[in-house]
Amino acid sequence: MFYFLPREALKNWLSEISKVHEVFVPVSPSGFGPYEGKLYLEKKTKLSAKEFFLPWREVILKFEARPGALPSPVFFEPVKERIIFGVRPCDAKGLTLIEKVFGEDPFFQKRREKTILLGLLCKEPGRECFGWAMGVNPFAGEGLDALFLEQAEGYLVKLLSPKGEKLFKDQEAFEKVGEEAQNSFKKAEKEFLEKHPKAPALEKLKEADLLKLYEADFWEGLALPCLNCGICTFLCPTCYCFDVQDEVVGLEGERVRLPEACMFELYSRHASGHNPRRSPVARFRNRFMHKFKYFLDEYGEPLCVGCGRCNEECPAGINLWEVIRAMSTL
Amino acid sequence: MVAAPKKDMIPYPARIERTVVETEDGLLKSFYLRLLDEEASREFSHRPGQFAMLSVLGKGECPIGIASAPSEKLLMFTVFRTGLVTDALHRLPEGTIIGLRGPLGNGYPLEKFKGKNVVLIAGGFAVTTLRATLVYLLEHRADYGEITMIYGARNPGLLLYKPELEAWKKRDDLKLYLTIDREAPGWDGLVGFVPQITEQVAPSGENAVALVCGPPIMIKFTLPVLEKCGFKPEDIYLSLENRMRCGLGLCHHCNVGPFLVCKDGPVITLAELKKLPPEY
Repeated sequence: MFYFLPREALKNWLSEISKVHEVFVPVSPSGFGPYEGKLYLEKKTKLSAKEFFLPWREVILKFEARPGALPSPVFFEPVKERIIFGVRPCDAKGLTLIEKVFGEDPFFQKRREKTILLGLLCKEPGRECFGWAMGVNPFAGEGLDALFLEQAEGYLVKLLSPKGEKLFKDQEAFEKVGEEAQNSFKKAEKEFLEKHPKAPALEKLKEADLLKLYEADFWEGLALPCLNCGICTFLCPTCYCFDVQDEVVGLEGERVRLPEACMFELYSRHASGHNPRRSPVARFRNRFMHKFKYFLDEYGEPLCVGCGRCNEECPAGINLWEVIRAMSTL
Repeated sequence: MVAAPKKDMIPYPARIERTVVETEDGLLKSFYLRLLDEEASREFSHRPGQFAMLSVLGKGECPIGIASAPSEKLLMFTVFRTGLVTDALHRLPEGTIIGLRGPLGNGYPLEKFKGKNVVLIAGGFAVTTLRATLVYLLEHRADYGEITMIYGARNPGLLLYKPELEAWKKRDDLKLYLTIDREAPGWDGLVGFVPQITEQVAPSGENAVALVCGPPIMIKFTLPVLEKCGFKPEDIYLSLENRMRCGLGLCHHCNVGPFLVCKDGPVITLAELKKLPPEY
C-alpha cells in the first residue's frame, strides 16, 4: 500500500507522532537523536541505526559489589514504542543480517519488537556506496516497516509490514495514492536496478575454497596499511561482536555488553597469553573472511551492505573493494 | 538430553560447597558447586565435554570445562589460577555464592561411542572434562569396549584427582597409564611424554575412538602416533579453547574460521579440524 506526504507536512507529522511515540531522526551528519525539530536528511549519517539495537552500553545485570552477592537481571524495555525515521535501506538490511545471528538474543529482540523503522531512500548513491553490488535492493526496504521515496512535491511512502500498516492507518497527514504513483515507485526501482547490478564477485566467493582464501598471499599486502584501530567495525552497520565487562562504582556493579572490534589484540588473547590471531594481518584477514566467506557460506549473503562507511572513515585509506577484488579473483 | 542454554546471559547463583587444592603448586583448585535454585538444579543436565561460564560478580566471567559427570550431585570445576576471574575465584572461601551459566557447547557424543573401544589421552590440567568422561564411561561400563586412559603431568605433584587415580588403578576393566615428564623421587610409574607413552601403549584404532585433551605441543606430537595406530581423523576427538564472552555464538570472539568454539564446539574431530584455519 502507498501513501503520499507533502514535503512541508513532514516536520509537523514528526511532531504529532512524538506525542505518542519516542521518535528518533538523523539530527546531524554524525547520527540520530530524539526529534526536537532538527532534521538532517541530505546524506546517510556517520553512525547507522545499529546503535538502537546493539547500543554502546547494554546492561545485562546489576549486583551489589561484594563477594557472594546475587545478580539481579535487568531488562531494558523501551517504555514507549520507538519510531526511527530516516533509516537508510542499506542500514536496515544490515539489521536483518545481524538478526540472523541474534534471532534468539532477548536484548536485541526486545529492542527490535518495540521499534518501528521508517526508511528513507537516498536521492543518489554516495561516493563510496556499493550496496547493490552486495545484493541490496534499497527499494525492497528489507527490515523496514515503511519506506519513503522523495519526489518533487513530497514523499511517496510504501508500507512494508503490519507494524507499518498499523502506524499509517490513521495518520491524517498522509493521503492514499492511486496506481499512477505506485507505478512511479516501481519505475524508479526498475531504473535503479538496471543501472546497479549485483557484483559477480559474490558468486565467485561462494565457490572459492575456504582454506585457499585463508592462505592466499595477498593478505599481507592488503593489511600492511591497517592500523587495527577498529573504526571500520564500530561504524559498520553489520558488525555485531561485543565484549562483556563488569563495571563497579562504589558498591554498585553492572555487567554490560559493549561493542568490540576483532581488530584488537585483546579480542582473541587467552588468559595464558597465547593468541591465535596475534599478528595484525591475522586480525585483518579474520574480519574479511568472516564477512565475505564464513557468513556468506552460512547464510548465502555477505555480512556487508555496501554502505561504504569503512572506506570513507578509514584513516589508512583501505578500500573494501580492493579486498573483495583480491578475494574473488584468487 | 541436554537442555538448550539460557539465552539471557543471567548466571544461576551457585554456592561453593567445597574446594580442593589439587596440585602441589596450589594453582589448580577444584570447586564443588550447588545451584541455589532448586528447579535450575533439577533441570541442569550436561554431557561430558561441555563447559560453563563461572562468574565472580565485579570481576567477570570465564569459560571452564565441567569436570563432574552428569550423575554426580555437585557440579565440579577444576580451575587454573591464571587470569583476573580465576584469580578472584581462587580467593573465595567455601560457602561463597558465585554465578554459573551453562551448560554450554556440544560435549562428547558418547552415545555414538557405544560398542567401541575408547582411548582417553590427557596432558596436564586439560584432564578435567576427560575425568567427567571417564566417570561416565565407567558407570556405563557394559556399553563400551576396552577403556584406556593415558594421563601425563610434568611431575607427580601436578597430577589431578589423586585419590581417584588410586582407585582407578585397581580396576581391571580400565587400562590406566600415568606418566610424568622426568624421573622424580618416590615415583615408580611410567616416565616420558604423553606421545611417547601413547606410542609404547599403541592402542589399536580398530573399532575405537580417541579423545585427546592437552597442551598444543602434546596434541601436535600425539596425533601422528594415533594415526600410525590406525585411528581415522573422524575417530579422533579434540577439545578446543578460545577466548569467549557469551558462550552462545553471538559475540564471535572464539571463532576458528567459521567454527564457533562455544556453540559448534568445543569438541571437534580431527577430520573437521583439518578443514579449518589454524586459529586456535
